[in-house]
Amino acid sequence: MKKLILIFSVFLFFPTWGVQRSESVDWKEAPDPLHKIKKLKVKSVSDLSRLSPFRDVVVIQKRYLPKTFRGEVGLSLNGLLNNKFFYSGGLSGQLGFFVQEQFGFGVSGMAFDRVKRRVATDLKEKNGLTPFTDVESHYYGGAYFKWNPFYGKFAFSFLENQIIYFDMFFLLGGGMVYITKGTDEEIEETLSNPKVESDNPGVYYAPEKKWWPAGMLGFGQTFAINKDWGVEWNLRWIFYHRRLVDGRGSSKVETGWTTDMHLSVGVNYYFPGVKYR
Amino acid sequence: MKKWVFLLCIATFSFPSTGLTPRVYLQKVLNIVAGGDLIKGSQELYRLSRLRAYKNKRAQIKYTLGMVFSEMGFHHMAAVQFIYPIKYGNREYRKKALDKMGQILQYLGDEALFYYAISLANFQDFPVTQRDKFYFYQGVGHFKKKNYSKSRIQFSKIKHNSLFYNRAQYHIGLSYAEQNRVKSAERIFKNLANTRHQITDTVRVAALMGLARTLYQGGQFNESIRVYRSVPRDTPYWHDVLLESSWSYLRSTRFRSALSNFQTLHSPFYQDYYQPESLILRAYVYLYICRYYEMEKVLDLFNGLYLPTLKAVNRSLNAGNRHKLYFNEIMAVHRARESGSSIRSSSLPPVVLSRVMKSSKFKRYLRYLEKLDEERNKLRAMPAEWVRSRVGRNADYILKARSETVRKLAGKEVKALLREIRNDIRRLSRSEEYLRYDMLRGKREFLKKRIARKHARLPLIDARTSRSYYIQNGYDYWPFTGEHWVDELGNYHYVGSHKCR
Repeated sequence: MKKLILIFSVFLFFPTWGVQRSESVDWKEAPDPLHKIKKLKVKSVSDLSRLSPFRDVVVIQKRYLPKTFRGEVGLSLNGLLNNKFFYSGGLSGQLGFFVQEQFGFGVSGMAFDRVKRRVATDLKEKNGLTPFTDVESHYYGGAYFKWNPFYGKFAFSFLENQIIYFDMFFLLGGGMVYITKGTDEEIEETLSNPKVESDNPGVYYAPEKKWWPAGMLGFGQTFAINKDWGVEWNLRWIFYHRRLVDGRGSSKVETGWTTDMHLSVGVNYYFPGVKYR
Repeated sequence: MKKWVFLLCIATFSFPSTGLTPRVYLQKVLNIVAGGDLIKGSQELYRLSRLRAYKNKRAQIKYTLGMVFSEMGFHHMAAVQFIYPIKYGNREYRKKALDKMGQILQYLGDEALFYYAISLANFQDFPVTQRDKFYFYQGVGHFKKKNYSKSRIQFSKIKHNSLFYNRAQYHIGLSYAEQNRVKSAERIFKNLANTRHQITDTVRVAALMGLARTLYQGGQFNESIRVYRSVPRDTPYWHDVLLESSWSYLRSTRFRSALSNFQTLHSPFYQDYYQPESLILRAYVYLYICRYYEMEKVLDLFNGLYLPTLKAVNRSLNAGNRHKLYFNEIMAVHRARESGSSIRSSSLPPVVLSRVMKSSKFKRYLRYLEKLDEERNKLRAMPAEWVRSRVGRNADYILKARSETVRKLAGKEVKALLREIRNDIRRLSRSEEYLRYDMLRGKREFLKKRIARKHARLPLIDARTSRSYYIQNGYDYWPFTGEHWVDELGNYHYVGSHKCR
């Protein structure tokens, strides 16, 4: 987990030298810079840019990848990061619309499948244990609100100083998650395996499959490829309140929060196309 | 006896040793050419073109030889062969040669040779397909002699479907502007700009530039600014647009906009550009907004950069070098800059190089030299027997001689540009002196007010506009931190204020 956090930190803060925060510009009148001008040594034309205080100059340029009143369609690959026993990956898609440069909304869906990790295989082979998590999520569908508070740019020196523009966004949403409590085979195995029984003395939660309300939080970045296409990565937490009922008919109920952390990487297409040069 | 020996010698060298009559032998050679053996055909045709016995057929031979050279990719050699039929040939070959020569010279970009061809032939000799070219160059000739009305007559004969139509229309616009007939010039440039729809089309951009300049000439500064703004950034003219529109801003008292342009013009990306005028213009703007200390720095920079340049140019011009040496010198500086090696201290400064390299005429010469070099390389790649033959040696000689001539012409152009630079800097130096005088007067007043504490600190122009205002409207907003990014060129906005209170 620490490794992951480290990777994300690097990923997130890698291009920060170009980031503009939304802090307000200090418009207050600065002290008279006359003495500075007198001392300034101007040897080439580019030194002239220091003649005016920097606050006297601003850069206002058309957004490279504008979003206002544009739709967004995205498709990405995603992986579940916080399951110890299974690799879980799949596809996710989104369809959104921006009402302003900073604000947008839309719907998104995810579908994923899982593969046993080595630790799970080892447990099965060496100890006869069949690991499973309490509940598994398979699909997610919901709506989201997107907030783009930061934008920035950076230049790749190895790509002839190609300038890449990016946005950083936060997501807030909610929807339904399709959850199951283990597969049928696993449950059969669990029933026939007394060791598992002994780990969960007296409790057996019935397998179930259902759509269940879930919330979603996330953040990520969109890197502009051109005026219509972007590469996006995001990290999303889908959380829901599980409620498991004892399958043997007792009144025992287990409740708690389950959180799935998904990393998605994909491409977005923005429409309609822009005509500005 | 001596007479007989002499006649025998002439006969030996005049007739091919085949025993065939000239007409039959020529047909045989033409068959060789028609059969595709261009190497042998060119050798034979060249040999025949030098024999007295074939004098009557020389126009045909030369024309055919020109066609063979053209087929072999020796375009310049071909153009040289066509001169004979144009000059001495009958009407049929004269027309054919003019047609083919026009095509070749268009490819080579050698206008001088075409002017020569025009001087040799009559208008009736020009094939219909080449007449537009004839009108155009005639028009340009009149234009250069400042016979604007005559030049317009020639240009207006060029039809819409001609390749020369746009250039002719542009020249018509220019000729009106030269005669201060602003409205007519405006109309021509507007029409020309509207004929092209691609944003970066060279003709469209040139027409827009012409229109903006005409509007400025007519005192319509705001209109000219509007047109200048419509010139796209990804064209080679954009740097000129920034400078010229700054004049319009100055004349329409939009000083902040002018300073915004200077933020781009004086960015590190244009460090080595020749732009003394922009410094003087910036000083003018500072004078108008009472920023005298900034103005002083700009004037000092002008002196620091361009007085040494003037000295170097003077030194070069006073040395009385031959034209070719100017070319060699400028190319040495160019090559040194390309390879990143240091430039000799005696060489011309980099700003001069940038000015010369911007000259379209000089660039045309360089392109022509490249094409000549290509032909010379092609010549070396020919079979050794052909290269050693008389035609090969002649081709080598002609290409060498032409290359030398073009170098001299390019050197002459460099010299003319150096003279222009010298006059330019001298003229601007006089402005600099006047500006310095005004600056000293202004400074005195400024200091008086400062001592009397009457100097007011003014808020920024944009003080009430928040960053989010721009962002909501689809703009990126960045405070300037001393860094220049290439994508920000043209997007700098000066929001400071004047100090004239």
